[in-house]
Amino acid sequence: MNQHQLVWRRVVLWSALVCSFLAVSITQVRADETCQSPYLPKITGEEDYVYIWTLGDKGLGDSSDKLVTIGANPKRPDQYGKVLSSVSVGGQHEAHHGGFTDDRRYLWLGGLDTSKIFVFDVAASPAKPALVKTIDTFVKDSGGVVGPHTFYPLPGRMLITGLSNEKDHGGKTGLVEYNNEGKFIQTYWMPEGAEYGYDVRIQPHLNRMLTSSFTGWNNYMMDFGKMLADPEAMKRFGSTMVLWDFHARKPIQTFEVPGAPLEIRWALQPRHHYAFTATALTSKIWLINQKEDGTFAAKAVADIGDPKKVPLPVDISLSADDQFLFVNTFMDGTCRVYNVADPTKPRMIHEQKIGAQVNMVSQSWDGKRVYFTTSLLANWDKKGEANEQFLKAYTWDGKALKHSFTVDFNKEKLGRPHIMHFGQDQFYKNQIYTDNMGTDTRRVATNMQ
Amino acid sequence: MQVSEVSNNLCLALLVSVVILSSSLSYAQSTNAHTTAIPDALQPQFTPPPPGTYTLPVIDTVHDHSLLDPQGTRVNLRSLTKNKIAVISFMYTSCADVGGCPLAAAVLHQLDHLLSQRPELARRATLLSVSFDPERDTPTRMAEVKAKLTPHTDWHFLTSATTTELQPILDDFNQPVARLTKDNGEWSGLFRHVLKVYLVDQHHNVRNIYSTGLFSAQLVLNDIETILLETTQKSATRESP
Repeated sequence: MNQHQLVWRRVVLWSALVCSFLAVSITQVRADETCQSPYLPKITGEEDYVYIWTLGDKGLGDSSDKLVTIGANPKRPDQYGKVLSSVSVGGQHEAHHGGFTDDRRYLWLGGLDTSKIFVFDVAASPAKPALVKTIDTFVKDSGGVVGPHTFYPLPGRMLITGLSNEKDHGGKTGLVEYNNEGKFIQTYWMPEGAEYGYDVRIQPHLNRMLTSSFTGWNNYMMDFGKMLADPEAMKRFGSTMVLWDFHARKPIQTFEVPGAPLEIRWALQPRHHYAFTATALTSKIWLINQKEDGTFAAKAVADIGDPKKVPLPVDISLSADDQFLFVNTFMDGTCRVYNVADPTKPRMIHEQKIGAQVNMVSQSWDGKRVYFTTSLLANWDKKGEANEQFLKAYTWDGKALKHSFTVDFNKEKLGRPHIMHFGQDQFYKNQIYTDNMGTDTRRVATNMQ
Repeated sequence: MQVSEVSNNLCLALLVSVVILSSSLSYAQSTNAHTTAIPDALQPQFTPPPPGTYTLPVIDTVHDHSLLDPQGTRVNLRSLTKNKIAVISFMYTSCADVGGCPLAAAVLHQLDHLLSQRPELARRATLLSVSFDPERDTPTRMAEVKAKLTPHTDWHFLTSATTTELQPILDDFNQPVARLTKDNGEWSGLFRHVLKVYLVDQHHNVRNIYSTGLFSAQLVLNDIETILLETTQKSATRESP
């Protein structure tokens, strides 16, 4: 350890000592969901609400896409596991992903079909978010990007990945930035040889950004069975990931990752300079790891189920301590939990069927609660009785998932539930969190992960 | 002395100590301070891209505002930043989050040092630390901070007369700040704020917003130089036949 390092350690230690004398401690409990942007302020303590961006299902309820709020606080039995609000945006837009702005006040939600973006105010009434703005100029603003997918908050801005383009509705696409007011800033197209897009995640301490790749509008809006039977359509999936100089917004490395690498999860602990993804069509966990020389390498490190059966890995979630990776597979409706303490050798430690189909998984920061939803895409979801649509909540004790509650979205006539985000009253009331555990330890919401 | 006063003074000491320790460290590391890996999650671990090799698109435009300098004199934001690239940090001196205001102050202190070694850049840049805690961060307190940090370049320490006067500035910059309350509704003395440090060009356009992680003195310096190079290139284009 050099002098520089020693002094900084002293600073941090001294800071901790000073803070222990403060009237109000800033001891932090981080029970927010994992795998969010490091620029997003975290809620502390348990979540009160799960916000679910839900696809409208023709003939079910009002058929419209909607933001559904579910009560998640077990200390409120009148709300726990119940639908608290449902706000329709009118029409079906292929509701998919979304994300909070960097102040966590607004939730931006995208439609993959119409490329509309719906902005909800969550802060004013956390149990009942309100639609306050619709951005319907995404394609025009961006110069032809179609299918807003990942919404990733940056300081004062929202970074959005596209899935497709206006010209041919194929997979060539780009990333688009808006400021928090909804004013377009810039578009940067994916590089030649790696034109497909899907997810984006940033590791600010390394100034590195990773993007992954899926498929274009022509495929994701096609009937799933029809697409599988179309050899030409099946060729039109991404097989690359791109590492970017984030500050310069310039691609610096392209990795061959065959079979549509989807969600990206950077490790969350300091000095863990790696990320995971899962490939949908080839059913593998990939590790994108920094090498000694500072560059990165991508390597398949584990199979997910039996790749020959194409279980179709979808969402993944990494625990805050970088110990467990939850991997959902859509076709068999199963969640597999891997011990990834050694990221080069993931080891499956638990396997549990969640339902006939499962897609998204969100995990609380303290690792104790895990939520699942079912819908993949309107035209890709299973048909008939297998078209189960639900939110299921579980607890996780490090060994097994234990069911807490289910909200049946078909029975409630809500639609097809997709991405989840967490909310909490105390955060928006700007109250210091009290753990109610008989101690006087008080906590404040944190600035960063 | 009230408990809150003790806390506040400790926090000010924390802010200044973090700055002084980290800065003296940087001085010891001399010119390669920006490339040194600092062993915690607060500091970037990368070499910033060279000036002029990237662009900084306009994020937003900010307006003029009235503030108080350490003498309690009213000053306008645009008079302080006229024809200069401004680095504007919103902060409060009682901040106890080492990854928040103390980090911003430390980086600005390092930037002040780097700029002092580049007089051709220093005369075209200005640093502003603007408090969002006017009740405690009076002009006198801001003068104390300034005296302890001993800036070598054009670094201003500003506050507002009241929270009412402050709010339009925070709104204009889209800097969320919330007073955190206790269960009984009393103010805890703390703010929740996302660390944001704004790079504003000569035309009042926000060109970057820094936060924890991607925030180092060398990075900001390179961004300042990038904007100045852009200006130089534009005037060269205009002058060409």
